[in-house]
Amino acid sequence: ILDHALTKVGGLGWTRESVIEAASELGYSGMAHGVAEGGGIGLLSHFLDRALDETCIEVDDQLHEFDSTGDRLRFICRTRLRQTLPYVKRWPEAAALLAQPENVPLAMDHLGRLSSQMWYLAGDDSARVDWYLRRSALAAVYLSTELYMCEDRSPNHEYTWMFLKKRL
Amino acid sequence: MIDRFIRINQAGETAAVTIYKGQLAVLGHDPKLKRLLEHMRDQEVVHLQIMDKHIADFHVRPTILQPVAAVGGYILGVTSALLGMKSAMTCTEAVETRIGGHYNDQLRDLYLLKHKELDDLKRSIAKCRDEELEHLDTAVDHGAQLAPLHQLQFELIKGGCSVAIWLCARI
Repeated sequence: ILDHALTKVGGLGWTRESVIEAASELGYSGMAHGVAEGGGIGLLSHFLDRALDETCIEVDDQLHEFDSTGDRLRFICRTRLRQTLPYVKRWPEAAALLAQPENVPLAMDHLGRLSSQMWYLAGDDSARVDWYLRRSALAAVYLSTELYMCEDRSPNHEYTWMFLKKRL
Repeated sequence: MIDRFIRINQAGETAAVTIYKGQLAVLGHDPKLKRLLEHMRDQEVVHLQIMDKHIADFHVRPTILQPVAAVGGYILGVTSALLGMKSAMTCTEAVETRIGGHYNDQLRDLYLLKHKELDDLKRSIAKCRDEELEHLDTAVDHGAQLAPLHQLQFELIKGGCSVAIWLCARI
């Protein structure tokens, strides 16, 4: 139901309405919106989990083509950012949802997991304080690039990739 | 559960290395003692490398108190050594007793799990435990139990270790 609801986001946004409409289309009662805990944020949370999983799968067989950790990290970031691309018009809404005080713990959890997973995929083996430093730095870069991407109108999002490259 | 084990182990070995460094700083002038302490310190350094590798392999978040463990260990090493060689040995005796028991507890829990990926982990922890208990015996041989106020020092340091373990598991 949640996967189908993601296709409704373009029209109805990150809201309970998207989930209700998706449930009805699949033949379930509208009350099934409970699968998205908290309405829009539940749907968003599902999207974030799925985007990370898809990134891991997509990146898996291509990582060996890169020589340095930096290159790998850039590639992984780009792949993850491409997961957000289909929803980029509604992304500011999502960012606002994540910034709400009651959603901040959830948002931090997702961001932490994302940042950590991206570093592990890139081959990070740090075991000291730099474990924390690397992850916070990457989280900040990723967030700012994602927000930049929302406003980027360049062909093929070239400016976004340049933005990312400058920061990584 | 394994997360916590590995996190604590890494912090523990960091402290172990710096405890010996601290003791060396104070007692290192005596050549025999210097050789002994350096040998034990080198073994702990190897243990720490093993723990660092576990952190990377099992994707464990290291405790943010790791630098605190390093500093705390050094202070403990220096303080115990300033009280005399026998007190330094008591410190080692207490720490190694606590750590030995700790590794045994971990192994007991780990042996209930039969996954193949854990074999290497079980083996490394067993090896570390054996060497820690060796250090314990060495400390006793060198007069740990003859130190003044032995019981007090022993229990105090063991208690401190327990608190540190509790903290590092969570933070």
